[in-house]
Amino acid sequence: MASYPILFSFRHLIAGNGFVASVVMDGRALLTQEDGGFWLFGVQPGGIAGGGSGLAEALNEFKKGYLSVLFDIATESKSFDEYKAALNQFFCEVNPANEDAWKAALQEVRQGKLALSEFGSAKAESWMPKIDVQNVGHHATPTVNAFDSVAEAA
Amino acid sequence: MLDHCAPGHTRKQRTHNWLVIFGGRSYPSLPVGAHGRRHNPEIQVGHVKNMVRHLGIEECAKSQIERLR
Repeated sequence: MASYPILFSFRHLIAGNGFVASVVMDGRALLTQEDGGFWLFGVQPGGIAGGGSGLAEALNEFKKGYLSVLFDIATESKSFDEYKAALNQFFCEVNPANEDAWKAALQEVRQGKLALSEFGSAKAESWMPKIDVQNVGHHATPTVNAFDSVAEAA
Repeated sequence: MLDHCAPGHTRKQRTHNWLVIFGGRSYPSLPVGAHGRRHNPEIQVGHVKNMVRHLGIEECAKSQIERLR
């Protein structure tokens, strides 16, 4: 069962109770081929996963899982500050077992034993996990617009 | 399985997911289920696998759920 170290960047505007938040998250996930399909398991944040019969479906389901958490927390949060704090907590919880597997997979990639042709690659050290949550509300400008991206860590 | 492997855990149903809290850690994305809120929603095993790893209860969970082995 091969596992691949994945880097992702997700950017979304999330509506909350009286606020609109710009959520920028760079994270890490472990891609595995199992159960006749593909699964993406969160490393950081560790509390999300998504699977499918193909890689595109797995990535779509992973992103839906991520967004579903952002939506759930937005529903519960009474203020932007509460939302930001909850998202930071969500982001900071690393999945330790997945992290160990991610690091092992990264070594395999660096030794040339593993490569995923579907994604481009990026140096893991240049794509460190980070989160930025801003209340954009009436102050939104087109500068918050950005594409998501996914790469294999190298 | 959670009652056995995560004694004292708490769970809360949100709009899209169950939030499971155990040992100071939170797992926020166990899906409620494709057909909405039901007693035993079908949950893909990958979600359970990720949750037990995240909560640090993988070994116990494997003893309880064959599909995790």
